[in-house]
Amino acid sequence: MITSIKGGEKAIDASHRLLAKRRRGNPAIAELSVDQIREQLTLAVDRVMNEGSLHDPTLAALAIKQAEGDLIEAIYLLRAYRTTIPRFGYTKPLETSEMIVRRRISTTHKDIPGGQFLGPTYDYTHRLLDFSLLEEAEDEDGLPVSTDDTFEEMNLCYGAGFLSRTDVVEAELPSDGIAVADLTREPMKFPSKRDQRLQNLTRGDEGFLMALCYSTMRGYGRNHPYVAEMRHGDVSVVMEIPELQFEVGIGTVRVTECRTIHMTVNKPDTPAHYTRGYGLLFGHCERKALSVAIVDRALRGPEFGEERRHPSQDEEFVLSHSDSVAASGLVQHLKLPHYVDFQGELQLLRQLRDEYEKRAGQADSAENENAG
Amino acid sequence: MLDDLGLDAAQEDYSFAFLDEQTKRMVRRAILKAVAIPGYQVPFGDREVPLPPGWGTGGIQVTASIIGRSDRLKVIDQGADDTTNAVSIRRFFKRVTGISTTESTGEATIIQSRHRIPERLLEDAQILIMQTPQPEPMRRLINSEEQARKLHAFARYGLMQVRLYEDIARFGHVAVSHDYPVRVHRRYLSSPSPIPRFDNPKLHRNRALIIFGAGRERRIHAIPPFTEVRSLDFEDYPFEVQKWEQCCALCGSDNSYLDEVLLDDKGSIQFICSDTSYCNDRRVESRRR
Amino acid sequence: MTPISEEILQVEDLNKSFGRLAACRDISFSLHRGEVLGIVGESGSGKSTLLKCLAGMHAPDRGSVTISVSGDRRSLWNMDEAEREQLLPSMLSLIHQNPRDGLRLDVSAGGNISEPLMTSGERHYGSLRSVALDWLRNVEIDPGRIDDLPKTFSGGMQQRLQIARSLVTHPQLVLMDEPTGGLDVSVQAKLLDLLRRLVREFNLAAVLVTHDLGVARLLSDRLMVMQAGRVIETGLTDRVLEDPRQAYTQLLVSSVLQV
Repeated sequence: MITSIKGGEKAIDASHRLLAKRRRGNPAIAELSVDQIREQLTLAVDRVMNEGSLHDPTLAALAIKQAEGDLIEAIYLLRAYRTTIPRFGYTKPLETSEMIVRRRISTTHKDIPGGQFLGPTYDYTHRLLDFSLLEEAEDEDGLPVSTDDTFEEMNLCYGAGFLSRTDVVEAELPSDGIAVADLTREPMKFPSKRDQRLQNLTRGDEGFLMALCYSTMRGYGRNHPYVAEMRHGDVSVVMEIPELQFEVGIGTVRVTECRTIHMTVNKPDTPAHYTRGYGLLFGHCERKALSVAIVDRALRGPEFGEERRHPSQDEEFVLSHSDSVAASGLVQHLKLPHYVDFQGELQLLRQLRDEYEKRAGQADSAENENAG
Repeated sequence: MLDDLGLDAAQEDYSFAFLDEQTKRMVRRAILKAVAIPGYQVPFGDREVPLPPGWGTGGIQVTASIIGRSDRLKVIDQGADDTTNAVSIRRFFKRVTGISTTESTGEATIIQSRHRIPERLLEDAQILIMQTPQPEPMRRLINSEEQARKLHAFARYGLMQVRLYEDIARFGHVAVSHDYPVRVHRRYLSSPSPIPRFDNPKLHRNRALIIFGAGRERRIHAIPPFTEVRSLDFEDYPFEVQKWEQCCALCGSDNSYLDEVLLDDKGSIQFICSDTSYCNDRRVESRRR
Repeated sequence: MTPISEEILQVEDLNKSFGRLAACRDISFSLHRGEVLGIVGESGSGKSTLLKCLAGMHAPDRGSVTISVSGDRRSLWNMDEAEREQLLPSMLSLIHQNPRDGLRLDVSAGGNISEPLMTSGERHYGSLRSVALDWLRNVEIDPGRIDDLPKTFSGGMQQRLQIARSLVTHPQLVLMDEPTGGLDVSVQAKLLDLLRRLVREFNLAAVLVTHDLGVARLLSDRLMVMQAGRVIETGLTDRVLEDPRQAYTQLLVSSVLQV
């Protein structure tokens, strides 16, 4: 006797209970607090804020806790929350030239106005597991750990000036007057503009963008990047309040900004010069800032008469597949039932097999006749 | 997942049907445009909703934008009301609207569906919302959105016909079992969403408004009531629907789309209606007699 | 004297630059039914840009391209894009140097020939098949290969298939961009014979762009010599090749044409 599957509702409830139980883990171990995640897993929090399109470290930390550390799931939680928040307005563009710098490097010049600061970076750590971190959990006695280094913040006012001092670098794209596209309100359009692209890349999946950037460096659309400057620090956020008719600072955000320059010779009507790639993200995420800047430049190819040959140069390929939320959704939808279309396809497959057998049979008998 | 969001605790913080009124207005404008230009894919600003893209978010946003307190909602997936994703979407709407839901096709005012059009004829006051993964029928043939939009603008659809030509040349018939492309109102080439070919004729001059929502792809298209919808074919190779030699093992229907059911590991199979509401109605009817 | 036939193409004062580079300067000419015009010059002379302006691919900066469509004279760049895209297939066909640019390599030979007909509305599979078979014979491809993919064809066969696809809708004007480029000499000769026959058979007006004066001599009635974006000499093919007036043309002829 056949009965169609019932009980979906109960199964879903049970599944959610199982999730909650697993999230809590062994109850004998202290529960992780959202504050701990926000303060101690900051790089995960940064990634969730960038790809979740919302600057709110506490909610990002909550999302990470709720998603059991699955960052792509956490990103989606934050996005789905974000979509319900009303929009009050737009801030003024960030003045990254007035950044309070925690880290700043340039790979094109040894001495740059304002100087270079190594700051916090994993770049020169030896990747040896630090077993002392295992101990700390047990030694917890509620006292803050003392550190010798007091961090000295540098206020840097040189802007990106040194790049503009040479006449071989493309002029910085200017003007605050132009309306900026907003992907959270309007769909992506092709051919795309750079503001849409940069927003898309900032929200894009770090792994995907890094792989694209990597592919350009392995010959799939080389674009000869130099990191003219990578800086990380705090900038103030300024908003113009229409009712007040003046600008007010509403806080600071920590960002990473990457400027790359690329030698460009392809266009017959312009002399060889350096063109730019750009990446600006929340928090500290240099790997992604680099990937964004270099993919940004790859996508600008048509401006400079470059042929579109490789995935990193194809705006539709890059921008339509960069979003981890969309990608994860469609990939995982394969777990949904497909009884109906499978049944249709199965019927077609059987028909094609029958016809194949029939043709093969005819060919055999024709051969036999010829032989006979 | 909904429990985790704490919707119960803070339900007042969310708008009726989850989306804020501005967003609903934006989606409704897209729907109106889609109705005005049958079969044309209207771009819209997709919003994240608490279910993942690819799982019916386009349909959910369309439903959320048009649903009112007096509506009765039916949600089906693969023709059934009790598959997990249908349950999940129905619960979502119950929770964020508080409206009544139904499993009966006849009672619903709005039907959100994935992969099937109900067997029972739809009526004037009903709206059918189809979840659509890929609204661009030519996507399999050309990747570029820019190019595809040009082909639509110039109604240059030879390429799609070539696909059918190739099938006939190779197999003697068109080898497309679902998501079979249609021409709407003699103008736009459109995707009917991945419904089986069997359901295509139901699109033609349907009494209900049919709206296709593709969230991830940010497009809405529609087939208004009584619109001419033709499945692509050749004069000498006319369009055909799937047929079964068996009847439904439960209700005996010989004119509905059937699901294959595996009875054991030795290959015994039976067939039952894919549309559970239709099958139940028939069984109740026959018991009454 | 044969009576003057219908004018199919008229180009007036056409100019096209890319940045500071002028690719085409002040180009004017006209073309009649049944006439083949060869455009010769070195690479960079502007002949390919000119062809793209005629084919609806590049808009000229200045000047006009007028094409006759069943007696109606239409200005190619004076209509909006939608109208141009709609009319273009009935106005002209372009034969690319590389058959890959003019064919769908993942579609059978029959599908390739039939597509233009399907685009213009033909919906009878049987008649599409018979037209495709006729055209395969016409361009000397074994009709038995109708269901094979072009990627299994030799370069010469691919080019003949492209020609069939271009001519199946009976355009009045055909633009050819180095149609024999990249082929072996023996294959070239066969293809030239075929083109010559088809041009006569269908009384086509054709523009042939080539750097190969041998090809130009075999196919074209008139020649136009281009240098640095300008037409520097024009005349009947035999006259230009046997009695070149410009120094540049003399150089071209003496260096290439030792047949």
